[in-house]
Amino acid sequence: MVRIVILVIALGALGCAPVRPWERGTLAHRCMRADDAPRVDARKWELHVLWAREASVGAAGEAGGGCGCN
Amino acid sequence: MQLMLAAVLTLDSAVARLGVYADDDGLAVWSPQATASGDIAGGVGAEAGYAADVITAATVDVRTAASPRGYQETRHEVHAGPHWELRPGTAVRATYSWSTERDYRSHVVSAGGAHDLLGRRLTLSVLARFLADEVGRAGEASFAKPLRGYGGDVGAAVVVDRRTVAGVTYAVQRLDGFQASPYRFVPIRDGAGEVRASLPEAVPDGRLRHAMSVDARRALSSRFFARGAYRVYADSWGVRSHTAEGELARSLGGDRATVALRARGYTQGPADFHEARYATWPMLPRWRDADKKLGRNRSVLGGVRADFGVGAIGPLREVRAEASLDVYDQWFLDFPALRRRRAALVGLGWSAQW
Repeated sequence: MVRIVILVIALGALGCAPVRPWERGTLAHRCMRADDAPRVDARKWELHVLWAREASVGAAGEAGGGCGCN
Repeated sequence: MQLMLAAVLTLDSAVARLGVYADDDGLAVWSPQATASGDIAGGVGAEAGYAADVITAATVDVRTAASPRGYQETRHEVHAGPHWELRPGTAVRATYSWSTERDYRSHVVSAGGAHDLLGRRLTLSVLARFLADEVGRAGEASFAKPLRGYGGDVGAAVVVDRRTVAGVTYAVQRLDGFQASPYRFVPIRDGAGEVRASLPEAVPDGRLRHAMSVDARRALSSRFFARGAYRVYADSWGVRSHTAEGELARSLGGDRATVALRARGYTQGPADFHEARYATWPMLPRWRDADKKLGRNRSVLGGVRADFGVGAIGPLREVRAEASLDVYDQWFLDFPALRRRRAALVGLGWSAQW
């Protein structure tokens, strides 16, 4: 699995085209950002809901409980 | 204008949300949450937040095991932690999270960082987590079982071109300790289907979990944006799953508002020891569960999300409102007591920047 991650990262880095700072306007749009704060909080809540209902959610760690699943 | 807190922290953003989950299995969860972050000095900042889950439950699990009349309870969670921009393109952060409810306490510590490379075309990130939980049983103070977790994730995000970003993340977690439900009992049947014993759930103490996900976002035009993601998961209990997500967003009113449609599909295989019925009497299986989420299940989620920029209000430089509505449909393929569950997820939120 780790080798696959390294391979994907290497291919991605090699494949990416130069993007000048003045060409990044579109990339700065909130729809293109993974760290847009309201969506991060919404995503955390959604994962918390799904963590209680699907056995594979939360492999990266979740504060337990609060799920109404007991 | 910036708001100064105790002359130490300069508040720069805040988010307040209310999430509501309600399903046709008798469960409703109201989840208010609030997060604020700010700068201290020299690239150092901090974030803190509070969240709660107000639960009203009369689900099939509760009716058959815990309390025929259902129950109500509230979980409280607080989290806080610093972040530090060491130099442009390199940042580290740490967070401590504590949550408590009537029968569960959880402590999670995480620390990690991100570093930009290749002229900010490639961002590498790493995060480590440790959790220490205590599982209790309502009304029985002497029941306390520990659960420990160690893990983290590594990721990379790539600017593919002027309109496309993509990322890959690998996550791993080792769990050691009590992972069964303290309330569920498993009927053990004989060959004729008669229930001969009812035993507490018992599952392995150790569980090693792996997940890998890829995510891509592309601006289709100046108004339309698409996102796609895929995640594959496997663990040492034999659970395997695949998740695919897609979203199409359109910006409106000169980027003042956004409307997005999205869909998510999930398919999961069972744990190795999971059985729809344990007909092993007089043998008692070492591992047994009555947990529908450890069986084969499928789900789809779809809905609409919108956000709207309100503009400046008083000292607040930018205020945005957001709302979302999703429907969630889950099928349990080997859980006779509940074959299908349908739910609605509603989100309402405000965010502000100073």
